[in-house]
Amino acid sequence: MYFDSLFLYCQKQINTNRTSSAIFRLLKGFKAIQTLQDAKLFQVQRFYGVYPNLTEKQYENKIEQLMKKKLIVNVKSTKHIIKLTDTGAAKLHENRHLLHFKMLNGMTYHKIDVIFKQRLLLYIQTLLNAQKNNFNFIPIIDSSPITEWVRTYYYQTKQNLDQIHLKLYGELMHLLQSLPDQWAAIFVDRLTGFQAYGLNTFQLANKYQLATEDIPIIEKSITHYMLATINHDNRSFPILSAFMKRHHANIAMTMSAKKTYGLLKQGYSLEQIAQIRLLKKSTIEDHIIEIALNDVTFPYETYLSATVMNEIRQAIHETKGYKLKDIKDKLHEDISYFQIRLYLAIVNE
Amino acid sequence: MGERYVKKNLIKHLNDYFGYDSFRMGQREIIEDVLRGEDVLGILPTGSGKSICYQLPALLLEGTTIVVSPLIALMIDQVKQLKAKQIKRVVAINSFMTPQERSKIYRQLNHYQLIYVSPELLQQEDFMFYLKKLSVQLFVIDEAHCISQWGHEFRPDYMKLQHIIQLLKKPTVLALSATATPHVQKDIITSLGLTTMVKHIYPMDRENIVFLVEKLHHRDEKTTYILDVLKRFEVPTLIYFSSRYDAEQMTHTIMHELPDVPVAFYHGGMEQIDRITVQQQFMNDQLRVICCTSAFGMGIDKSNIRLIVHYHLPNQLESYVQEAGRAGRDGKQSISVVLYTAEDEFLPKQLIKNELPTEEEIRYIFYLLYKLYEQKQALPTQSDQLALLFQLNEVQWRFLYAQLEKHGMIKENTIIYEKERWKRAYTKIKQSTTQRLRVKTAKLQQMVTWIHEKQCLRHALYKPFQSNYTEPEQDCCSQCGFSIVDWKVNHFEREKMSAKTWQQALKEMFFIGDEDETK
Repeated sequence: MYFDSLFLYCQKQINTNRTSSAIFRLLKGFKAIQTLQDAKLFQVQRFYGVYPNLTEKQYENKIEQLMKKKLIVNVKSTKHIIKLTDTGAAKLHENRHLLHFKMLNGMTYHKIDVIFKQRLLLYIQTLLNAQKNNFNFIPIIDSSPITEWVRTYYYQTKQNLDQIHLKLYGELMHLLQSLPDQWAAIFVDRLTGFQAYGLNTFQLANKYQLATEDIPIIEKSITHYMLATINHDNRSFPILSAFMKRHHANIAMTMSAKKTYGLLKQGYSLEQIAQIRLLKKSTIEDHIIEIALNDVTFPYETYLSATVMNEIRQAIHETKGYKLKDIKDKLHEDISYFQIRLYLAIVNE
Repeated sequence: MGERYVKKNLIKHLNDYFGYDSFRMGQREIIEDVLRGEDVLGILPTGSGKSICYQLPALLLEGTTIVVSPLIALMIDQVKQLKAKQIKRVVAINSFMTPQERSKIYRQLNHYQLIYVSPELLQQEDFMFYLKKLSVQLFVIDEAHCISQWGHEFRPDYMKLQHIIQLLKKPTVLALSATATPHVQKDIITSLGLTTMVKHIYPMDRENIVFLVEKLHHRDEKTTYILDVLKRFEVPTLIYFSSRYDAEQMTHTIMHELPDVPVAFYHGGMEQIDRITVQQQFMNDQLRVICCTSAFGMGIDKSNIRLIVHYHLPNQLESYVQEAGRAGRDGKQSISVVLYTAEDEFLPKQLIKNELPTEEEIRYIFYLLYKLYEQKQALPTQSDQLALLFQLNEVQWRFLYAQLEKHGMIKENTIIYEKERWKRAYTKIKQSTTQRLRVKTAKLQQMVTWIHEKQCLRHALYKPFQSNYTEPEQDCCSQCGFSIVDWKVNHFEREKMSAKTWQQALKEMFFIGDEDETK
């Protein structure tokens, strides 16, 4: 019902102006200019990228189902142009108060939401296992930027784990209480703790008798709701705020850094950009640090491998401080000042 | 060098690194030979801890150990398991990494004690450039049966390993497999050019597994059979399917008909987090039954799986032996059932065809390659882009890529055009495809023959692999008179899931109000 109503809403907005794949690209969060412009033009920015893992097959099946239910029809069968039927419009009207319409905020939280949720899931698993002295668990998230962040954060918080544990519980409780019970239960069932692995998408759908495609929509809505609430009142959520750090760095990016970022996005290397812009390499490196501070989605892995991060972290640990020269002296000479600064920018701010 | 690793020390190292008190069958013998610098061919049954045979030496030897492994998922899984054991200087280099990630790793290769690579990667010049700088002490070929044309999972790139070993200044070689017939063993040794290899061949038969073939009339009877068995025997169970769709459907049926049975499905089409949760829930006994494809099982070390059902006919005896071998690793009696209906041979035939490109596909790809060549374009490097471009699945593309490379039509991602050569290559590739199809069909036929075996199933199953096997003390197989209704097995204890509110669930998860959590 959540996915269906979301689809119907987008369909109503886009109407017959685009083929049906436009909604697919919108929900997946395609970076193409066309998709971004469409999101704005048809005022569906809030649903941009809310279902990044949707597969083409799932999407086609959904469309087929909705057609069978006579909620949508093909306008021109060959060109995949679709419109809402009267029944479809009535159904959408009936469902207009569903919560996900209020909570989703895709364009604003694009990618930040995934990072926040994955960090949170993995940190909870790490924390609860560490509290039981179990360090041999299989992490439920294995993408290296996330595991790296959680590892660093865990070491930073190791000294007062008990306190963080209680606070985190309190903050989650606080946030979940405002949600409908079913949604809160879905959130809790997904969590993995000590010797208890959370339910997956299919298991959640089965337990709550929802369509498989509804689960990601609900989970995304909860994440967006959490991000909005924490953002609005981050003093009440000191622990959870940490999971969205780097999103907050309110240093406005300089024009020059923005230009560099533009070139980076086009695939130019650091050296090439220095050549193109007739600037020193060190200036471009400064820009990259600035970008990393401002954009949580910046793919710093290009410059910092997990291993390098590991080594820098250790060096920081050994020097017990953040003095660049001291850290550098501890490290292999291949690791540059730039990498150390970038590390500090993304991990410690 | 070997003298330093006296017997007592080896056990100590095993315990320090992996927490085991003793070696399993064959491990010590292989490890001792490897540390002594002997080239070894090790055939060990599934689930006997093959990976310890190189993981322990890798940690003890000074230089680097390279492990060639055909499956990315398996590599990543192994690295994850090692890291969970606090063994950190390991890495799996694979095609999922971005070029940047990869080149970073390349530049610090000497940091790692153990490097997992795909055979394809060893064909890349930039990687070999860095690899050659290392002091490689041990070169491991996992799933070594992939070397042989007659193995069930032939991987053309495995045939080039002899050359790689030369380039790396002949480190000690350890070739491992769980399923290699004597014929395939010979192929491995010949292909590596290591005639002095020490052979450690251990019997793969499992006397605690009872084999059953159930011939049914219709697929509906399979469902009835499964539901009946799940109701009767409350034991950890795997049900294997050849199709993702059927695995999902059966899961829904079980959920509907037997709501008390904790069941989930698992296949390669799921997201990583959804797969890990199912796998770990099963390890953790939160789940009792998993409906899965062959994607499930690699690297899973659950000792108390009691029942393995094959809903579809496996493609060959080798994969069947591996999958059935996941049962009863603790040595207790366990059961493997293959459900068979007459129409079942159709699906594997179709699947085999899907693993190879058709003649039209080959022609189409030649055409596309030529067009790309004319436009002076290189091939995309990401495998999903390639699949999209050529409309082939990964297995088909891997086969074709090796062929195109072999015939000099492409080098890494550059297309090399020469009219006469392409013409010859086209004929040759068509021939290879037909030949491969023949091998696979013969393998399937062997499986079908086994299903219809009139004598002892155990005898017939192990005959192609080894000269004899241990006779079970109790039950043997359905041809020797065993029927599943006679099975005596202890039921599996599971905490009944009680309905909790989310508030209670969250509280319990965070041990709130837990008395002993006051530290």
